[in-house]
Amino acid sequence: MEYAVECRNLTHYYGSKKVYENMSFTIKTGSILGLLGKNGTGKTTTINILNGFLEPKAGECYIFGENSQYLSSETKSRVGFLLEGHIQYDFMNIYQIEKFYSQFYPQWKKDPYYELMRKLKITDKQKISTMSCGQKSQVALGLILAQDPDLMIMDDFSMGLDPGYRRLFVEFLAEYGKAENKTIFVTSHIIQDLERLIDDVVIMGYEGVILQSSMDYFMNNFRQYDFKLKNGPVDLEKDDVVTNFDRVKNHASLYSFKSPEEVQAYLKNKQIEFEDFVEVPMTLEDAFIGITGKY
Amino acid sequence: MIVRISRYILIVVSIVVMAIYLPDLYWLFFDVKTSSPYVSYSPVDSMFIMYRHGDNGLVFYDEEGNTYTREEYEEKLPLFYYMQLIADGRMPDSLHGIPLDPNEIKTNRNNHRIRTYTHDVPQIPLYPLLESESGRVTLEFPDEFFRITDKGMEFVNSKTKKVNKEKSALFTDALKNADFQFPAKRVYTNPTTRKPFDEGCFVIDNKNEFYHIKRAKDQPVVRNTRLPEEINICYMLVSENNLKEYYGIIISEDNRLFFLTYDNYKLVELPTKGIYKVGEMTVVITTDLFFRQVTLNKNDGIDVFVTDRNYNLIDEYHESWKPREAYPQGKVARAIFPFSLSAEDDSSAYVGLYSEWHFPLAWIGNLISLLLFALFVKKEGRTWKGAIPELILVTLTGIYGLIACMVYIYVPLWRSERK
Amino acid sequence: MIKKIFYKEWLKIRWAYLAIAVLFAAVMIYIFASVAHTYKFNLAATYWYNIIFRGISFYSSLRYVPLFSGLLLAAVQFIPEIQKKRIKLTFHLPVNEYNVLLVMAGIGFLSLVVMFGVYCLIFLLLGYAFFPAEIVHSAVLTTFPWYLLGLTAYSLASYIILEPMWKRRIFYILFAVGFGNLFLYGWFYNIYDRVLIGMLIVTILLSISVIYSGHRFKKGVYK
Repeated sequence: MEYAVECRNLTHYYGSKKVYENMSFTIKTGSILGLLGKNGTGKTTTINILNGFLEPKAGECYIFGENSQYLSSETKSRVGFLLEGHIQYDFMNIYQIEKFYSQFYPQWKKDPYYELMRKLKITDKQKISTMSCGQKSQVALGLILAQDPDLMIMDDFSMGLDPGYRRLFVEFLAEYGKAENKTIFVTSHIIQDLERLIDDVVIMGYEGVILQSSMDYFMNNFRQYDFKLKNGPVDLEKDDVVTNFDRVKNHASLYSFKSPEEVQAYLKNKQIEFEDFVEVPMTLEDAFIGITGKY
Repeated sequence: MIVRISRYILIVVSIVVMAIYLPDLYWLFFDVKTSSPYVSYSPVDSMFIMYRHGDNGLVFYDEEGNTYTREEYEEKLPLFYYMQLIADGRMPDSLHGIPLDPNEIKTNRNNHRIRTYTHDVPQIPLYPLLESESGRVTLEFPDEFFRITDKGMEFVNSKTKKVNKEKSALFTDALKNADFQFPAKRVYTNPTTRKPFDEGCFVIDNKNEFYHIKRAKDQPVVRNTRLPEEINICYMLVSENNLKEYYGIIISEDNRLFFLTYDNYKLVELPTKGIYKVGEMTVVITTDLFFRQVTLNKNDGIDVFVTDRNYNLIDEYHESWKPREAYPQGKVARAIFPFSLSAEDDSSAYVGLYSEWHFPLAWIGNLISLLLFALFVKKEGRTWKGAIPELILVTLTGIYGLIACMVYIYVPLWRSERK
Repeated sequence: MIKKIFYKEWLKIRWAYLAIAVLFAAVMIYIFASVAHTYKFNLAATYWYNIIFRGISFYSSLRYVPLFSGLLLAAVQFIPEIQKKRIKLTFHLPVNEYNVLLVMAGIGFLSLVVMFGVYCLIFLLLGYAFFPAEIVHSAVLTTFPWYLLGLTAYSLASYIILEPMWKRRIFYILFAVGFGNLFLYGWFYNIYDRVLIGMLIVTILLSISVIYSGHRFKKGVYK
């Protein structure tokens, strides 16, 4: 199967508030997709639709070819799910929770789980509710690793984690993603974590999907150009060339998928005089802010 | 499927709950004040005299509309207020040539009240049988309670919980000798020591014969009362009193009232002119030196019959008033609420699901509810076909169904169920 | 699946279940200690008279115990599920979502049935030690609606807890309180005898209520 996840023409509203209209995206089997967006752009809504906890007003998602609203038990067992905030049954201790989940998954691998647990300074009898955020995240991760799913859906895994735990998480995921044909779908609001992890990126804005591309394409083609406006402040509207425009007094930043030559030609064409035109190297986070704007 | 079933269960239950509480809530705000008179028959004027609660306290008047002060009223009822009249020195020595002796008055004065539900009250079938000839001045409560099963009459000691075999055999034999068919269907007794003497109990046996069982000097006294066959007993109020004219009052299944008299269990029918209905009316029967009075109290009226001491009807009084249902707010209630349910009813002490239907007036409210619900279905973007069961439900249950179907909002199983 | 889910449910309810068992035991001890005391210090015949003819019950302290048990069990079983929408984990288990809900509700319901059954039996047997069969049977029948109320309260509390919207919850609570009140009419014995079967059926039917709010949760209906 080429795509582990296919979402077509998703439209959803909360009451009269539009979340998005006609959003489509796919996740290739064996790839890692990052869904980026500011708070309130519909990341969790998308995750909920994918897991069948929300029925979109229109459109549908398919996971391994099955409509996500009516997933069969077999398909659900192939999907690992990390809830936002690493929520688990925290009335259980790490022994009980392993025992509970292991009953449901025939291919359950308890070793990776206990391996991970040994690294945490906790006892088998300690209830999850008494653990720190970081420890909870490792329990949730350990359970998913033990489940050994073909598709992992992780809702904001970096939430509430120390940098160390975040790094741990990313490393585990990268390792896991390399293994045979595992597909990962992650959302995060800490963009830098994802930089070295994801293959494809979907960026959501308040009006829907802004960008959908491979990381390579995005990082190689999306550019920031800084220049000085010679004839005083001018604002540029977004169009084919200008993905985003930002200005402080005479200092302008223009974000674009076009080459420096094309952008300069564009500016000349608009009769905007400029000087000190430079291309600024960007991290993923810079690019994210560049494409979504600061507000 | 199960989603739909669970929703309908919740809807139906909430309809029942609303049908029980909403009409009550309504009447809490819009109830009508009615006051029923307390009616007596004056031996002084030979006419009905009464009082009722007016806006400014009690109002005393007679059937011809004359009003009285409280003192005048009391003087017209010397057999009732004799204690007060004697205390005030207002008591006449005689009336119509008959001397008024306080002891005689007291002996003749009885007041029995049978409530609407008295005939239908749960009863643990264990009864005391008092010793009626103990030789003591006061009655004493026995340690033993009896039951009448298909095996016989058994006396159980309340201290030891053991059956008194000897006594049980004695009474069982006595009952058998009187052709009593075990077990007892019903037992009527007056289980108290606060009465002048004891008459034991009255028992319906398995072939519907009516027996009188007493305990005299620890020996059984059993008599078949041989009531006329057409009398099926609905209830008997046993009342031992010094008048010693009757054992008690019997209500028959066909809504007739009788005294079961000491004259060899002869039944004397009390006049009700077919008005009395068991379960709907409270009966008050009073006796005094001159008269016997039967008062039937119902929600929307009062009927009183007075006889002389020989049970010849001498006067009657009827008054009715508008029940709250006949007022405009009653009509509105019937239009709003298609029916009302109640767990309790005047006719029984048992909990049940008692209903009152308000059709055809209720169609008004139901059709409005249906219209509102149809708008709601449209707003929700549902198909009409999918909403048919609910539309029918709202048509039949009106406001209740409307609220229920909106609270337990329809959540489609599949998106295709929406338009 | 029942066994698998039972493990999770049991971890949630075990302490509450034990507490309920202890509470019942305490109430039973209190009831029959009072009965023994009354027999010792009062006239037995008067005691029976009060029970039979004045409707004074020796077991009235039992009245709200099943109700409390049902509410407590529903709370410990379903509140952890809705905190942080943890029920999503349950729905994500590789089993049918509705079956999981039914099994969860069924486990709680049957746990209560077992508890109530055991204590009803103990009540019956202790009753026989102190009273004639007529009084004991009347007592058991009179307490029966209270047990049904406990089960109904469990079912209704569960579905109310699982409901995602507070505005609907308020209506649910009003209906539930109104309905629960129907089980507590009057203090006289045996007045529910004629409706017990009907109440039993409704109690069983209501045990699947949790499906309705679970479905709302599953479909993400927030209105």
